[in-house]
Amino acid sequence: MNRFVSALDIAAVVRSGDVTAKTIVSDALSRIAADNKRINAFTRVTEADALRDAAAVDAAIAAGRDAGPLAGVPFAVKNLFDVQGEVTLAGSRINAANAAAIADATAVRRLREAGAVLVGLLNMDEYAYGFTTENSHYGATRNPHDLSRIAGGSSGGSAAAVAGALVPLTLGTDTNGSIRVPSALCGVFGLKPTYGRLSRAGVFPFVGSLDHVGPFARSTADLAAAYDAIQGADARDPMCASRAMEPTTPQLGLGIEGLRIGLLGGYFERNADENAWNAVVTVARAAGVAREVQWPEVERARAAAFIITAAEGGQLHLPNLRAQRDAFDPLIRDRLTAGALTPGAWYVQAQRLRRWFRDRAREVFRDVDVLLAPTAPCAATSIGQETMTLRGREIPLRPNMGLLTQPLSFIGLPIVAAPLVVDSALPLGLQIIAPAWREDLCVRVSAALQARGLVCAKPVQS
Amino acid sequence: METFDPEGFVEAAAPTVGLTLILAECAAVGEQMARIHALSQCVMDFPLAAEDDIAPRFEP
Repeated sequence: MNRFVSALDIAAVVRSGDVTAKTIVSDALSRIAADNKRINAFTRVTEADALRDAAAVDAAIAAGRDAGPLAGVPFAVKNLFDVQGEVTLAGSRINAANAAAIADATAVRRLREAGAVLVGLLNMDEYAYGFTTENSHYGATRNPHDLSRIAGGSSGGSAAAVAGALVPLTLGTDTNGSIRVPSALCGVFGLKPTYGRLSRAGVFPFVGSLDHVGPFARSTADLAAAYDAIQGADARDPMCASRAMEPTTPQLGLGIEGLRIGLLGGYFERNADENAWNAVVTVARAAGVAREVQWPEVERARAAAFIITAAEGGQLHLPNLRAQRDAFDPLIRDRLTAGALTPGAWYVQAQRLRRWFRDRAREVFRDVDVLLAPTAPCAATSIGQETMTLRGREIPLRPNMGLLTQPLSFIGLPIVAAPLVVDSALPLGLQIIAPAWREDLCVRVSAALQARGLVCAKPVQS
Repeated sequence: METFDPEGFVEAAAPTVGLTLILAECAAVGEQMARIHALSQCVMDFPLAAEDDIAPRFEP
């Protein structure tokens, strides 16, 4: 089959019996064996287990049982998700000494229950603290569109594996932009749901106040199907909301007529380079979006998110910072240490500001249904690059790739990161932002823009 | 005008959480602390009403 075939098309042919899951999974494993050396998206390929699981899907179909909506779809997960029998590295050397997980993370289990077949584990920034996936222990993940450039992070392996067509679906996490930034830089779709929507049980934490789980895919429909498969309450994650399932797949064909859509300006324009900003403006105009929306105090919100991240991340790793400081990736060790020393007064004020900013967001959404904004400040930068130039300002790259994503995840809004159709060689991204618990609106707008040819996963030139 | 000495802050604060850092490490961590401190100023300066207290559980 075509390597760019969608997850839903794979499931359709497997469910109909036209192609076996074993054939599909074997093809995926062959692609990974051929291409992962260049991209370095996978840190582990679970070949034997994948072939066994594919055979089980085929057996279910042969027996006339429902093999699930994602039957036979190969998928992979960021290596901070627990996978039974595998050590959960979270991008670190320290965790390599841990025992193997005794059960799957809830999100992994639910994808398997939907018939998808896990084929491996994916690279990331150590402990998810970064936007570049330049991991000192496991190497940098390379952008499939230009191997000299970053894939973004911290879920860089998840985005690169989908962009490079190694698998059609992956899972990642997003604390400050770790799904959305790599989606933008690799030219694929990503969904960061509302804070508390998807279970984080069995996922190695970074910042409990801000961590989200979400899928990557090459189309809105695949993204929605994966998201719908992993929805649902879960007592194993105390922050997971006990809301009824709200499937988004039925929203795919509704279009954008009647929706009030605005373009976030101000801070979001100032902190995007001309290419990233102009690409979003072009799409907004083509979609008939005329309203520009100003959101108050976004810069303070971003600062508060940075402080909460530093403080909680540092606190989480304090025991290992005391006992084995040199085992950390040098790119994050000093940041975590500074975070562990952050005064409580700063942290508490940042959390208070979070509530204030959430209330302002609710006011903004009285006048609009959906907001658009650039995802990353610029296209993928070179591996090893330390700074970037933004509107004439030279700033450190690694802490600032999340300038446009951080203020939004700070208050837990659902966002689809969609790849813009652009003439440039490197992808650029669009954030489609909705009020809390309205993932359906993000999916609906993304599908409509995709149908109009305004967003699309950027094909890799091989 | 009062100035913040990030390296000195790190050197003084590290033992309070059980961290032992050599001087070179204090300098490197101090660079990161300077960034956090700079960002903290616009957070700490922002006037919030007393009722905007920290939530026991954040609801988006």
